[in-house]
Amino acid sequence: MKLIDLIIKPLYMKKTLLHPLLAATTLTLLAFYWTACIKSAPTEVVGFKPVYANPATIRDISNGPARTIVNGGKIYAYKNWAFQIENGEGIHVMDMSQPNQPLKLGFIKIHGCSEISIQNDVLYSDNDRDLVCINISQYPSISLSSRIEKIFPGVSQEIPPYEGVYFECVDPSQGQVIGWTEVLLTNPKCKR
Amino acid sequence: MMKSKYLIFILAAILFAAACTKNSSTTSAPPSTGQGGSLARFTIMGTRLYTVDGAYLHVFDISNNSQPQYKNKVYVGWAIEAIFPFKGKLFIASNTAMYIYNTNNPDLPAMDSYVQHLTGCDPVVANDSIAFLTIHGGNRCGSSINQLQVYDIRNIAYPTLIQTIPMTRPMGLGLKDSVLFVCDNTSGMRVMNVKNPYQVQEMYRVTTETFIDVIPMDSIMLCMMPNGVAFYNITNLNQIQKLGEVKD
Repeated sequence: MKLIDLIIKPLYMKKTLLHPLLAATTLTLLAFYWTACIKSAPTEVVGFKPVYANPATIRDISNGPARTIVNGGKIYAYKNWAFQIENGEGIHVMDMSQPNQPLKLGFIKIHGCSEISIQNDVLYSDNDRDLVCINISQYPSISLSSRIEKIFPGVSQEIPPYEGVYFECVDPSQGQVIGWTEVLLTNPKCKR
Repeated sequence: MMKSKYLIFILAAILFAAACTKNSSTTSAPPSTGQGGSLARFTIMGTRLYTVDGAYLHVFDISNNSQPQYKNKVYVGWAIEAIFPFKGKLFIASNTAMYIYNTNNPDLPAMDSYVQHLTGCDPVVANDSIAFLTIHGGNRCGSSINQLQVYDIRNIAYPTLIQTIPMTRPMGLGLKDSVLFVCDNTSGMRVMNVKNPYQVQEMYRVTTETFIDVIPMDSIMLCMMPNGVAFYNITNLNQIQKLGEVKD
């Protein structure tokens, strides 16, 4: 006898009490309810917490002094310049006119950036969800020449990027979600 | 009657002249465009910026560089990784396939063909007749496959897999004449002779750093490392030489 019969049979053995199909459906629904029920969550569990930022800070694009390359991303070559993305933070600008003595010139801060392309001294990059166009013809002086909003998927404002995990519910009053970090949560109220 | 004939003639002359000046002004200033690596998701071809993310190809008209116009969003497929431009074609690599798009209408690229391959993360580079694709595994990539695949694309509608070469964990790659550079993680950069694409041969390896991607230019090559960049002299492909680096 199969395990499922053991569970379901008693429910319909007593004549016409419960149709087997109905019994199975009820059990399935109960099972679903049980897994979705947040009350059954452990009090302390490893999960995810949103990282917030002020929308104005996210849109601030500026050039500053050269920085340490920590989390080096994609590269790009244009005229005598070489570029390397600092993942999520901006772009390192280097002078490669003397490739045996290359120099760091500065750092363009672009929040959430991972990509770069340049034509006619206009640099295109991704600033979180927006496409930004930056005029670099007078580098180190730069200017944002245009911005096209909400092109790229960006970071979800509702759920962490993993399934089957507990997370701290998003509070939009704290700002825009710019990432998710793994932490120890106490009595989490949200689950994905 | 006579008057209107003259008018038409004058109008035609003006139009012709206008067309001429427009033509000469566009040819007098060739655009100066940079070069990206094989892992890029942004690329410029002519007066268009193409970007890929997740499932879509976005098209921007950058004829006026400072004021781009968003033209189209084209659905390509699942888990798009990178885009590589070559002579009017866009090679798009996803976790499971390589797509080839033409830009006959630059605002609305259309698919010429696609080939499915084993699951893995993968950039692509190509020339007129051959496309090279690396596939690497890992958590995010959903497999443990690591190889270089060579496709014959002379018939663009039917790319054919002609060779598979096992690798350690290949990432970016770059093509210079008949030499292919493959960044193969801890195994170093493999410099391969691809003159005969049916018989790709490794010439030598550069193991001085962990290379992730490369941009071969006329005489120098820009190389991506996790914490900086390196410059190599590639005038002699039989023995490329390190020139300098910016590394932290």
